[in-house]
Parts: sequence; structure tokens; C-alpha cells
Amino acid sequence: MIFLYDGTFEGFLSAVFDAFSAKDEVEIEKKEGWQPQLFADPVEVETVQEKAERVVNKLLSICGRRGFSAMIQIFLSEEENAETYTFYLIKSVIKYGSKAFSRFQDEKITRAMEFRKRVSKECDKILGILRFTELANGVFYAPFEPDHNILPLITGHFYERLSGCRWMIHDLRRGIAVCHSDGKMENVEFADEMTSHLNMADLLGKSENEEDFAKMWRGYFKIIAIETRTNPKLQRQFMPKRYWKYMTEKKNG
Amino acid sequence: MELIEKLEILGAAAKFDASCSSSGSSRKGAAGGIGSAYRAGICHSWAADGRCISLLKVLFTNYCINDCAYCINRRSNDVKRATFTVDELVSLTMNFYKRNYIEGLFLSSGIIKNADFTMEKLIAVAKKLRDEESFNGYIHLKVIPGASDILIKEAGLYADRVSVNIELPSEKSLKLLTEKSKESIIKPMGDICGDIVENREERRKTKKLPLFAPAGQTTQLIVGATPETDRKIVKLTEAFYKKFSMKRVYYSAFVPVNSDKRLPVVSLPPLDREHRLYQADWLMRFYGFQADEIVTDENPFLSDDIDPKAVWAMRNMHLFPLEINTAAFEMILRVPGIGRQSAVRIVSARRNGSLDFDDLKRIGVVLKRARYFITCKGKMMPETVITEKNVFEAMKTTSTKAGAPDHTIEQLSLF
Repeated sequence: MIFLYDGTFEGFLSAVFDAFSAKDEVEIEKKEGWQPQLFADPVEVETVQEKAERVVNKLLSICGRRGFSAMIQIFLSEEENAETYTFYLIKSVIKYGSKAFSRFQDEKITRAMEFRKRVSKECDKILGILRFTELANGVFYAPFEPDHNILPLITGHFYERLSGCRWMIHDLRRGIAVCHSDGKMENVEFADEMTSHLNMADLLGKSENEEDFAKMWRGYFKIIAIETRTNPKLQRQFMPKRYWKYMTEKKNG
Repeated sequence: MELIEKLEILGAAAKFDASCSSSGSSRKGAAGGIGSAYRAGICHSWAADGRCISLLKVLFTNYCINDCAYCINRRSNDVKRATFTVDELVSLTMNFYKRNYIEGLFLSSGIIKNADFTMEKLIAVAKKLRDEESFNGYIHLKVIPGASDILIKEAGLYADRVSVNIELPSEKSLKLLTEKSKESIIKPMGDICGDIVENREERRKTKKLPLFAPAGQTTQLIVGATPETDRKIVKLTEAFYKKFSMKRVYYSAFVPVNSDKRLPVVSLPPLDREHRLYQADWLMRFYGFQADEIVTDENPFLSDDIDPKAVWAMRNMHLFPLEINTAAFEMILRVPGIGRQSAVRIVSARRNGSLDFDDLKRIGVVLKRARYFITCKGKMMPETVITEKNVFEAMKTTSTKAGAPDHTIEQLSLF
């Protein structure tokens, strides 16, 4: 049975609620972009806050914050059929308790946990390689294009760390951004779809000192390598090329 | 001199320090402040040599009163010299940190005037970062051998981690190549260890007491500049972990930067040896191995072809095969092809039902290696034939040399 939801996390949880007692195998997919199939008669799920909350509370009571955040990570992976795998994991957790996470005997669980690993790996990487640029208006701005939808997973780290700065982290691929000022963090409302994919550093300009510090960082980055140990393969292994675009020391080659 | 030039001189002068880790401290950011410490540490970039850049690693100055044979900054070398001011370093650290280039500062120095004078400079930088800039990021301070205990105590209050480099694995080598005595290096290590223990005990009574060096102490030694065996180095490492509760011992493959008749002539740093030593170090820190199990008097050097865990397993075939569904965690850890994560997964997954080879594969076990040492439900993996040759080949071919250099590009450029 196919359940279509509106693309939000609440919508997904509502779908979980509705699909839970379904007898057949369940697939959960986004309404947008779903291709009608012969013989498929999908259920369109209505997003209901109360249903979502009940699912959340149930899961928290069984597997705690840690377990629940693993489910969020799998959902945000945006890997193929991520929602269906998340649903499968949720069902298993409700049936077996927290032990379900280590059911490597089950191929679907292993796959779901593999998604989780990819997401947490990308989070760890991005916490290190995200680069902020000081804009002319004093905001520290960090554009990036992650493989997975990890913006909601990394903002907490910077909220704590850069509490004394105004900043904005911008997923240019998905056109979403979060900004921080004086201890308040909020989602950025863009004027339109096109603006949401624009690099603000190009739009608003950089601060007076920005280029000096960027230049010094690039200089430092170069001289810190030991020539007789040069190993570009190892460097790329840790720092895949697709991330270089926004890295101060790596863009432009 | 322009700041960028200073940074390039004093960064280059610090590059042979292997440690760049920012782990071991966990500190929340303060409202309105800058910085926090992340328990596992964060790598921010990787240099062209593949080494991680986590901290802004620089010397305060590369002027030095010493003349150690292996050191690029020795006083008899004709190199460009520079010295930061405290304010310059504070500004660089804060501005790099806000841009998320770095996790914090790793500050070391050549010795100017004397040990205490130099140590005071390093402390002044850390103090200003903490007190005036509300900086909560990571700080690693190098302890200058010979600095007085009271300064070491102060350093540990501002720094997350402190370290004294042993530099060379024996007293004889130290005497030959440096102007430092073993005593001047070992004593501060002992003092730091004592200070940490004392601080943790007192904090049990008074929670408000500041943490002394929350991320502990580390050290580093140069591999291949002197004739010590791997056994000597691994035993020394074990002693550092056991006696001084060190967090890490770093190895730095000897890179000849000076021509000096006291030094061996090598064309390339012994990276493979360094890599094997790190593997041995991991076996002691995470896999429950003793130094004596890794290197023996009969075989005092680590093998070139096979990693030390596999060497141990091949020497102890009588302990295998292990039944994966019942074996103790500590033994599963010792199977070649099973890493720490796989071992943890195996132990938790087998509570849900017994495991077979397909399950192990999904868990992430490298069966190509592990198959010679395990059974599942009493059976070996099909088509596993244990002969010396088969085991040797399997152990050899999959050894990964992540730290080994990539010379392909250099070779290509010849044509």
C-alpha cells in the first residue's frame, strides 16, 4: 500500500500513524514528484499535528532521544525510499524495542542504519569544513550543498559555538537557510524560489577584512603540508572534491 | 614584517609536530561568547600531505637558544625568523575560529632567553583568549622543557591539553642529538600527571574548581632518526599510557631537514614504519593488547608486509577458530578483519539470534581476512582452507596503508 505525504516531517509522521495497522507492505512517498502507477491506488495522507505528536511520544518512550534522532537522520538522508525504510525501522522498534537497531540479521534494518551512518558521517564532515564568510553587513555567512538534508542537524552546534556572532547557514541546493542573532535562531523566509538559491556573499558583498583573513588561511593551508609526504589521494579521501566549492582554501583549485 | 609572512614562517616552523587533535574536551559555548569544545574533536581541513588540520598550529617564535640536530629551527640554521605578538595571535585565532577554519590554537615555541620566559608568553596568549575574548574553543599548549612547575600549573588552567615532546626514544639519543636531558622532559610529564590527578580529586569535593588540562597530556617522538627498535618504542609508549595516563603518543617519521653527521642519511621519511607504529598504538589503546604481545625480543621490529594484529593472530593460531556466537568480546576484537565497531555490533546483534556469515558481512566484517579465524554455528566459512600460504596471502593483500605516500604524481611528472 502506498501512502503519500506532503514532504514535511509532521506529514511523514502522520503517514506513519495512518499506515501503522496496514496489513500489506507499506511504502511512504512524497506527494510531489510521485509518478502514478498502474494498479496503484495511493492513500493521500492529511498532516495532523496530533497524530505526529503521538508517534513522537511513543518512539521517545521506547528508544529515547538517541533512538529517535537516528530515525530523523534516516528520514533526512533523502536516499531512495528513505521514508519507507524509516517506517520499517519504526515498526521494528515498536515490535522489538531498542534492540531493533542492532538487528543486522534483517537486511532492511541494516540498510536503514547504513543511511543513518551516511548522514552522521556527512554531519561530522560538514561541522569541520563549513566555511563562514564575513559579509559587509557583519553577518557570518556559510553556503553549502550537502548530499543529505542535514541543515536541521548541524545548526545546534553553531548556535552554541558562535553565540557571539550573527550568522546564516544556507543550503543552496535545497534553498533553505537558518540564521542566528542574539541567541535567536530562525528559518530564513526567502522572497521567492530563485532568491533561495542565490549565494548571499555575491549579493551583499564581503566585509573589509574578509579577504585578508581568507588569504592568510590559504597561505597557512599551503605551508602546513610536509612536501616529502605529499599525498593528494589521501587528502581527497578525507575531503572529497565535491565539497571544495565552498572551502576558502580549496575553491579555485 | 606583515602578519601573513609571520604566519607562513611560524606555521611552516611548526609543521613537524604531528599532533593536531582537538579531542578530549567537552565544553558548552557560553551565551554571547565564541567557541565550544567537541568531545570527539573536529577536523577542519586536510593539507596536501593528507594530514588533518584541526588547530591553528604555530610557533610563538622560531628563534631558539638550542641547537638540536634534527630541528629546522636550531640556532645554527640560517632560516628566516619571526615572532608573533600576543595580540596578533589572539586576533588570528579569533578570526579563523569565527570562520570555522579551525577548532582552536596549538601553540608551541622555540626557546627565547629561557624556558620560563618562553612559557610565560604562551600562557599570555591563552590567558588573553580566555579572559578577554571569552574564547571557549580548544587550546593546546606545549610545555617548554625546564619551565617551572608553577607555570605548568597555570598553563593547564587555560589549556585543554598540554604536552611535552619526548622527541627521541632513549636517553642516549637525546644526549647525542639535543641539548635537553631526559630529566628535563620526564619531570614535567610527571608533574602534569600529578596535577591532573590532584585536580580531579579536589573537583570531586568542590565542583566549582576549574578543570586542569581537561583533555590531558600527550607527547611525540621522532621515528627513524636514531637506532632504537620498534619494541623499544612500543614499550616506551605503553609506559607513557600506564605511568602518566597520557591521552596519545604521536610518532613523526623522520624528515631530514638539516645535514648533520649525527643524523642518518635517508631520502624519504619512513612512513610505513610510522604507520605500523600507529597500528600498534591502536592495538594497545582500543584492542586490549600489551606491548609484549605486539613486539617480542625475538622479533623487535614490526612487519613490513603484515599489520601487527594479523601478525599476533598468526603467531597464536592455537587460540582460533573462535565461535562468533559465543566468543568473548575481548577475543572477537582480536580477530583480523574485525574492527572495534564490528565487534560491538556482533555482540549486540547476536542477542537477537545467532549470526551466520551473511550477517557478518552486513555488519561490516572483512571476511576475506576473518574467515581463517572464526566459525559461525560451529562451521567454518565454505571453501576456507587453512594453510600457511593462504593465511599469509589473505593477511598481506588487504593490509591498508592509509598513511603511505602517493608517489604516482611525482613519478608522472618525470615524463
